[in-house]
Amino acid sequence: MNNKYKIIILGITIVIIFILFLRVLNSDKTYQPNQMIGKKIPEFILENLLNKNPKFDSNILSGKDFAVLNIWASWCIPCRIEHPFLMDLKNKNQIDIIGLNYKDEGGNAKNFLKKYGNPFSLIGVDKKGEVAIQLGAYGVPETYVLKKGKIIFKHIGPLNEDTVNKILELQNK
Amino acid sequence: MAGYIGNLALFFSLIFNGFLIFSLIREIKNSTFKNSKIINFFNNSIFFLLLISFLTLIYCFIVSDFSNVAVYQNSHTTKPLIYKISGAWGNHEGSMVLFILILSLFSFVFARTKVSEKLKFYTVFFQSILILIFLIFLILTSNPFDQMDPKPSQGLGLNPILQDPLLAIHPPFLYFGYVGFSLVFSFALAGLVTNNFDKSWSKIANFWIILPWSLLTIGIGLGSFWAYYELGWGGYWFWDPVENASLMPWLAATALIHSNIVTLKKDKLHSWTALLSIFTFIMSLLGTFLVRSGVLNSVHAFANDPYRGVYILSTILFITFFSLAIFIIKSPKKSSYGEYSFLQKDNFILINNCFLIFFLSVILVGTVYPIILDAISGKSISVGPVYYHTILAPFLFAFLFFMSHGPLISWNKEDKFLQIKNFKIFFPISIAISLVIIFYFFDYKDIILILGLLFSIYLIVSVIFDWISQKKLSLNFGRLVSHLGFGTLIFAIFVNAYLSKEINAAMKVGEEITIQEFVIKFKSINRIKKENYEEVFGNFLVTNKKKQVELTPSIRKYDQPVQFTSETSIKTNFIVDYYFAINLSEFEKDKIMVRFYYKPLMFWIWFSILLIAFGGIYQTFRLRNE
Amino acid sequence: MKKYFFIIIFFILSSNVFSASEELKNKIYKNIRCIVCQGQSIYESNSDFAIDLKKLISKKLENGENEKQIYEFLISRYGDWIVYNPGLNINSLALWLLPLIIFITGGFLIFRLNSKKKK
Repeated sequence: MNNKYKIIILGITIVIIFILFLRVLNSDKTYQPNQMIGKKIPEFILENLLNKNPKFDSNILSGKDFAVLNIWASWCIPCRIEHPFLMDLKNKNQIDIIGLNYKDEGGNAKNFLKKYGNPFSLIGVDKKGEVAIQLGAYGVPETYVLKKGKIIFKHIGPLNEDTVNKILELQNK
Repeated sequence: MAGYIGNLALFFSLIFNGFLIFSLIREIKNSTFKNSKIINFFNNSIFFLLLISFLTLIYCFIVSDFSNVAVYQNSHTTKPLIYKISGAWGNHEGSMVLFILILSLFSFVFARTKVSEKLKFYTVFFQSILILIFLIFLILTSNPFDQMDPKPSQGLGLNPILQDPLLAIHPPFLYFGYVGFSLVFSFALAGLVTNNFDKSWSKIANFWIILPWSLLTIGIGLGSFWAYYELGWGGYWFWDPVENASLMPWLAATALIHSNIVTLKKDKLHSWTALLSIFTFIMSLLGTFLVRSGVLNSVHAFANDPYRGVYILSTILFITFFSLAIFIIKSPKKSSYGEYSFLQKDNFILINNCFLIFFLSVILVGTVYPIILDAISGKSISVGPVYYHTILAPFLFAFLFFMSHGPLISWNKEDKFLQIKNFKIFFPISIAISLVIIFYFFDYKDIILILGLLFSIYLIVSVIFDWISQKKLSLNFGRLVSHLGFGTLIFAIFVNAYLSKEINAAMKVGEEITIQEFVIKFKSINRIKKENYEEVFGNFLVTNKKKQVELTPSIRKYDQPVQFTSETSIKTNFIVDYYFAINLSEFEKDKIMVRFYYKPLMFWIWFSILLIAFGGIYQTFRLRNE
Repeated sequence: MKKYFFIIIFFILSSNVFSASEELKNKIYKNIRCIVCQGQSIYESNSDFAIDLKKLISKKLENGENEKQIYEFLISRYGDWIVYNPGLNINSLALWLLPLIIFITGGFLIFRLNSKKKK
């Protein structure tokens, strides 16, 4: 093979490697596993944070046509930051938002809602974080969009404008 | 003040470097290779300027000059002096200064050795281009003398885990190693460009390959040893991407040492040796990139900065492209093939080179593939020990076999009978020893263990045999020691892997538990208070049949910032390490989480690495005195 | 020849496997990545998530689930990345093949060199 061709091939290979690694460097480092998309939420029953009844039952969630499930805690700072987005979704867009209170003290959780507002129509108490693991979550905050109990969208980390728009889009489909 | 001097020194070294390259180009154009006085002046000055720069940086750390950003981010007034000093190279910017300093050091020393003027010029030329590239990178993106205003009164750098003697000296060894390969890289390019790549090239190159290789061996060993006693999980190698990044140049360099010997003795394999010389340094650069660019997810990657990553990536690919382009154009056309009969030493070396490159590619793929897969398809997979062990083991056995016979085969004669005779001696002895060891010591055995012991013992037996039949020991002493070290290393790794035991439990003070053949008694607790931490010691007594070992692991609570560390307690002897670590329990407040490890032959793992390195160092001294 | 055959059979038969549940538990812990940590397994990590997973796995083992089922459970929720051992699937194919291809290429080249006839 001619030297010139070898060098050209070398050059192309180097450029490909450069582009590849450039993509790696610019990619979002937080791991966003999308294993659960398309799956039905697992079965669970938890205590309700605010009332004795109804219990926080996965069947109730499966009955809803369109709902947003938000995993939160009073000790979680990004949760405080994303909270206004949740309030907006409830008040302006009338979205049904369910809350999963993760590894929290009941008293602290209630105080959080009193102080910042309650966007949730129903809140479950996941004291040990076991249901969160069932859902494939690994921290707070995480937000799911459910259509009749099927997970159609998942976001890890606090909500922002983009994700809120995505959620609204999904509602209109 | 010191910071300004250091910064100035950096700038001047850049300028002088520019002048150096300019003069070199002029000499090369005119094909005169005299005027070495000017060249030498610049070359020497650059080294001294960089040395001044590095020393002033260390000074800034010693006096805790927090107007310097690097010092502010990585140091603290209460740090002990040694760690203030080692803090200078323990951060990205400072370590890059060391990186460039070593590039320059090797150039400085090389220029003073006996080499033909032409080769010397070209080598210094290529080396100075490397220095230029990295200096520009340093000054533009990672200047260690960046100032901040107002000057803070205290620094941020007080991570207790990083305050460790071994961790302090591990980077310099590593750097002398894989940055040191830059010299043979430049020397190879010089040889290619001047069409002087031959036996005489190899004779000189030998020293410049084996010296960095030996130091890199020690560097890797130190890192592994630190991980063992510091991290607290009884392990010493995790196939962590940063660990892999140091192993890849080591493998390439090992292949290079041997390939170079073939070029030296038989005037063959020129292209391959040249390619390996370039490739080894490229592996070093790859390692540099992986560790610093933020591309990796690792326990000990440097502070992740993708912006910097783009610079490093471009730099490295630039160097890679041009060096390989030179190789393609100027690759030695001289018969680098010649004849290869199966039972000849050069062939066996070539075969094992193939194995070494295979090992390298396994580690390279294992480290880089998940990153690339993620970038292309968004899918993530994890590559862990099981992958490496599964794919490496069978090839390792064959490698050991060739390594055992290679040294005993002649360069020229094809003596089948001699080799069969050797085999008939080694095999029965090795099988006999392996069988005895396996049946006496091991309950659980599988085919991998058996082969692992068999082939490592086979290698050791062959080295002993070789050693005894030496007429003049000093001739091959280096090789014998290093090869022996490798054999004992594999042996120790296998024994350790299969015979290690571990016990996890939650225990209260005064409690005694019996698991397998161990009785562990939690005798008492005592607390001490030091300047910046409180420490709680657990006093444990481990009884194994008749043997009793006392261990005192501890938990430390630092106050600034609040951090808990677990300090291991290790009792070691030639046969086995008793290893103990404790952690606070999340849920049972009156109990402590206890981890006990029984680790056989750990001493031999460290000693073997020293043997391997020592063989190389012995060899470099011998070469220097020739 | 028969001698060697027996020795080999003897080796194979004398292999046995520890199935102490503690060993299995630790083995699984070491094989699961702590996805909120930097490059640690849940065995080595004391983070909340790691502890939660350890408790969950422990419970599953007590309920009689085997190793494979536990990995499947975790992978179905967290993706392939959470398990350190890259099984043989479409994504990891290159992982196993690439080095082997390189080795075979090298071996082939050497073989060709060896069979060059003397002039």
